[in-house]
Amino acid sequence: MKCSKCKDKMYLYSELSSDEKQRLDEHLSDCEDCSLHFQRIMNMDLLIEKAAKVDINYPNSDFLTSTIMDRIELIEASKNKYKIRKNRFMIFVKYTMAVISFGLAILFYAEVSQTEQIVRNYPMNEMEHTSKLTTLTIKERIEKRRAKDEASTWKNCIRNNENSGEVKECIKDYLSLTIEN
Amino acid sequence: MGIKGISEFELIQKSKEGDHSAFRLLVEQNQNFLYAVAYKILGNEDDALDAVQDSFVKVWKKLHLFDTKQIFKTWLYRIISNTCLDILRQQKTKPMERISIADLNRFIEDNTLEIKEMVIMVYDLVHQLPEKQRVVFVLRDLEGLSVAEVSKILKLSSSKIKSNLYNARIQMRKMLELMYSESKEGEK
Repeated sequence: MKCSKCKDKMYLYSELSSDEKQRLDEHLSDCEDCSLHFQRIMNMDLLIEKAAKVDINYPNSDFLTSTIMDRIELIEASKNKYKIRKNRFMIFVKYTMAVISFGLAILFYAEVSQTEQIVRNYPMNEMEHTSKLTTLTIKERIEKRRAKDEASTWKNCIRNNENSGEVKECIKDYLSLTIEN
Repeated sequence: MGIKGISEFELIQKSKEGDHSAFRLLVEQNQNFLYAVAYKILGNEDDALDAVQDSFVKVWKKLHLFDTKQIFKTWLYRIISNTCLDILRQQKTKPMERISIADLNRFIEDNTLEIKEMVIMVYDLVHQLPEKQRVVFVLRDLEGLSVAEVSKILKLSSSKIKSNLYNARIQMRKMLELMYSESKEGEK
């Protein structure tokens, strides 16, 4: 082993494998210069070892513990605050959603009942054609139907009351309606 | 059985569940050794106290991630080392403070003045080492951990730990020799 390599290895003596230690020890027993260098390193190691053995204790350990625990409490308190805020927000969202849903339900119910009323007012035979007809046509047909109904009413009046003056008026009305239609 | 009689494993389990009194016991059991490591790396009381507090806050926050198959002390060493490295990186521009006997008297009891002076000298030299070398040197040579343990704590390969250790030891020995030669010249 060369002296330069040997000096390098001296600094990591405690980390060397038993084989490496043996080779280094062999070189040290042959080389006085390296042996002196190694001795100096060992003296320094001894000094560091002594310093390492001295215990360091923080004198006010109760204060340190309570400072640490205070910080932990603060962290937990801020965590809880966040949880409370989150819960409040979730409750607000839930109530808002409930109100919106209720409003939508009312609107839907009103719309449905309005449609049902319109459907109920339609004559049954008109219902079959409703889907195919435009709003305008439906209105026209309803008007025609009403006129026809009135005409048939007056026809009946004529049949039942042939000699009365009222009949004459009825005939006039009937004729005017028939002409219009 | 009171909470004081339970094992470290049970204290960790209880702390994981959010038990503050169990965590307080974990703090009481480990704060001194964490303070010693922080003081050796950072070299002043205020920074060491900050490092210990920050480390325990990290422990509380990350305890749910701790695998109980691991050694708790190794995990604590990792947290304190990383916290100290963060503090050192933040303080790169801050001038280095020398440790005084008065400072050390507060932490070291029942030791002669000679030993105290020797400790101050070694710590002062440690604080002149670059960050990583300093942490490796403190863990290996002052805390007495093995290279494998240091490599596990710092998550660095053994060869990197050895190279940092080699450089730190050379630097330490050079500085010590210089100090000795200066003191001998002064005596003459």
